[in-house]
Amino acid sequence: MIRDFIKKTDTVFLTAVVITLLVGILNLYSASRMEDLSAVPLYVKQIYWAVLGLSLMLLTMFIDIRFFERWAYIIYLITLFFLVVVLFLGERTGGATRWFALGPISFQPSEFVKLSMIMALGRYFQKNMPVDGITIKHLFIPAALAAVPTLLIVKEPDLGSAGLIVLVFATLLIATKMRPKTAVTVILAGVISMFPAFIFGWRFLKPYQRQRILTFLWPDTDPLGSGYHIIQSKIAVGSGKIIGKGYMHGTQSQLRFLPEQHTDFIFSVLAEEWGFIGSMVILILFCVIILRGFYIARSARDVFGAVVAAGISIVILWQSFINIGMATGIFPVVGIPLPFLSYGGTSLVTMLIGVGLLLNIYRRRNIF
Amino acid sequence: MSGYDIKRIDPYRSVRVALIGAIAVLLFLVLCARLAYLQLYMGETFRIMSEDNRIRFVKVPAPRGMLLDRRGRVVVDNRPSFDVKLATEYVEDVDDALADISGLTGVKVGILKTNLKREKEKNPKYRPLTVVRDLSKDDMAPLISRIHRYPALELEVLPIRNYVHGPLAPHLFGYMGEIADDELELEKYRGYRTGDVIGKSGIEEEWDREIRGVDGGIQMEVDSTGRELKFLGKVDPVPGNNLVLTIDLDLQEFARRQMEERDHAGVVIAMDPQSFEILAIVSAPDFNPADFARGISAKEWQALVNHPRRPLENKGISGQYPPGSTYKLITATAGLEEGFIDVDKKLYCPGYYRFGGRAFACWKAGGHGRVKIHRAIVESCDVFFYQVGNGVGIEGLARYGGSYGFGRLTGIKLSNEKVGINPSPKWKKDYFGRPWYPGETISCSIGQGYTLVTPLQLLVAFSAIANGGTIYEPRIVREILSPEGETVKSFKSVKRGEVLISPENLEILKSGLYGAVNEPHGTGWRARIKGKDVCGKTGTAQVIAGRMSSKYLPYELRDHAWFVAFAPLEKPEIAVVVLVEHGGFGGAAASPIVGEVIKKYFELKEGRKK
Repeated sequence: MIRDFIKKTDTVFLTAVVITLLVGILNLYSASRMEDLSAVPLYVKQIYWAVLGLSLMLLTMFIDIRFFERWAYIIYLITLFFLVVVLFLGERTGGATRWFALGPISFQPSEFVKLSMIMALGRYFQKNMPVDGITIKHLFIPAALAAVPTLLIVKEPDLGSAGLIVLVFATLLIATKMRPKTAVTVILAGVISMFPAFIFGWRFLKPYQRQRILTFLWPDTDPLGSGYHIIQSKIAVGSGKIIGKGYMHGTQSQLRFLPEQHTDFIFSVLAEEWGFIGSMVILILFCVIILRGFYIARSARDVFGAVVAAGISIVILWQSFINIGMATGIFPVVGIPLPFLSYGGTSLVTMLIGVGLLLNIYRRRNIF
Repeated sequence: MSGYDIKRIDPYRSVRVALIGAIAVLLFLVLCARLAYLQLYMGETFRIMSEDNRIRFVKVPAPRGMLLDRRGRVVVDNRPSFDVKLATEYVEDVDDALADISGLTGVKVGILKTNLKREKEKNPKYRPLTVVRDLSKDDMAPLISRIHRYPALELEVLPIRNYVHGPLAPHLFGYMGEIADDELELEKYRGYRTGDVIGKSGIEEEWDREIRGVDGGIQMEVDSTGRELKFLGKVDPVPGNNLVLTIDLDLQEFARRQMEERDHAGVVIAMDPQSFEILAIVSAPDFNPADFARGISAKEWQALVNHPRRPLENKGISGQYPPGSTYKLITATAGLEEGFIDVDKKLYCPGYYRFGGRAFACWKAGGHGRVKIHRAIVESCDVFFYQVGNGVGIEGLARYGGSYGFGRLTGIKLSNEKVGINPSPKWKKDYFGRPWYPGETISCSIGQGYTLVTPLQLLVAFSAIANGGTIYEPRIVREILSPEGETVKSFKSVKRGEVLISPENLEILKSGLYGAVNEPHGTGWRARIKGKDVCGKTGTAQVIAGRMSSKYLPYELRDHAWFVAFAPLEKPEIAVVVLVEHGGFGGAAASPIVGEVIKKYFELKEGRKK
């Protein structure tokens, strides 16, 4: 049975994920061991979440992929329902309602929506993809599938997650086979609409959101306010030099100069303690996971599998790029967690369910 | 497979893996390049910054130098102040924390709140804030036994000023405060930094550089909330130099009591007329310097600033008053030196002097009859000096007044000294833009015109008469001592000028001053001391024009009373000026105090000989 499991499982992909997950927990231990405020240490909580996530991953792996395809729209609607519920019943933290509590655990529906949207898109393209590629008329429903959750998340407000969904959707469109004329039209329309969107969008941004963008562009103007985060993170990453300061010896993180060091700036903790070498190891692990994900997409037996596999890999790609970009000061601080490394139950469970889907698609690549 | 039309497109070609794979690799190369830049190229810079981040330099203030009296007795030193600091980021509810502190220390919550608010404005983020200053010993005990239960509380010990003899000379010593932003830009505070505590008045201000010492510091490893985790290094502070003052503790306290017991507002200054060392300098009413050391509240400060009797002002050097009849010595000098009068010249006083269609009255209604200079000084005849002043003219008065030091700083090394006014036609033209009227010379010649002097200026002028006509810089500091007690610098007399007067004429003035105290009808008889030959002159400086007796006027309109004297006649060794604000006639209010101070001086001197 184990032999069968290994034979049918993408071991390269799974190994990379598990190593990343373990590194993440070790890193979280270092980042949170000075935190004496909560009764249960964060890394212990993260282990609970990882166990839950791995179980759900295995479950996902062995459910027939057609089940997800059949129920894709329903799952999509359920997550949308949760997004609406969170707006009314969610816990307000830091001026935004992104969470709600289910008994002892809190839960962030905007994480699940990424998966359910990708599955809904997969289901749509499965049914509506002509042999010579899609045209404009095939884009209305996918656009609506992306727009509804995006608007709901904007309402929370969580611009980071909303932007991420738009980015994932756009990348997935680029990846799907389009007729050349359609592709040109879509790209032109996207580029042209960006300018008015930016100008009008600016007016709708809350002051703290504008501040974040301005601070990102000129961090030194406000070193103790919003710019503090970026400066401290750059100091942490840079001061790691080649081999780092050693595990649990990062001064920036251990003395808590790093803000949000369990979530947004978890990478800075790792880069400070493990240096350039450690950072490269993490980048290579993510590269393996993402490129292997694309390989699974290519080998999928149907369009649904291909779109879902590519979509999940794209989510991992953008989240890791944006999060590490935030920590190194080349991207604004938008609150996107680093997959498998940032503390956060919903994010980790979602990612591991995504991994389960990819492994599932890989398992069934040869079944016709 | 029914229901799934998988043949419509080859799934291998449904997503362009190569394209997004290339995008992925490109994005990760960007991250690689960024990390290489931060960690390899800029690594050393950021490593240094991370070290700076976690190392905090805590200033250890140097103890300020002590102040000693002329006989080496300590009058101001330092004592520890126990302050309670609160790290606000460690408490969930600041109000609860303040209630706890109030319970521990007995300080009212309202006061704690005000302190916290003030500290918050002054301090950078993440620093523990001082909520209680200078806790008394009794209140310390319950706190020390329980402070370990409150991790957000910190006890700090800082040196603050200790006034060994209470409010002995608060105006002279001065008080301290944090350096203000505009002060930082001044040349005299070059090298000072924000947050430095400096002298704000008196000796503390003027001699700040000598007595402040050099602050030390401690290097601590801290976390982002500023909590100190590890001790890294220490630089010991260097204590400031000590100052040996010229004042005599006993005489100073005696003089201060004289004013306090009588509830007078005014000035007493005693000086050695030979060396110009100040023996006592009192400005009344005063304030308690210990309140400033502890940290004064805005309300207390406002009360001091708005007090009608100006307790914060050192009136001896900052108060400017008309000299009244004491000015007659200047008029006399001008008359004698210019040859308008001589020792035997008699002038007639019918009780008034007509000039320009106006009658200038003498204080004695019936007049003094025909008087010579000696009697004119003894009885302070106004009409005699009207005529002399009119005879020599305002230019003459201004020249001789200037040679006595009027209209010029005495040069004492204390801040906020005022310059007074030694009027002349040029001064009036510059100041008012109008010409000088001859009638104004008449008022000037008895010190009721534009002339303004500080009590110290007047004392300097009379000390010059006492010592034969030389003006020196009045001194308040005799020596600077290192903290180990070695002399760093001792100060010698600095000559500032000679009075324009011949020795013969000087003797005429001195005999007049002797007569004013010791002869019948002398205005200063209340200062008489048997065997000490006190010489002095009364003065009554009008606050409003008119000849109404001060008894019938409200306090703030009553005349200022002057008496300035030296003793003994031969080889004078002490000169004293007393000004009683709104004290009425000078002879009555001021001269007894001068007498008491001079008497005390000789008592102390003889007591020490034994």
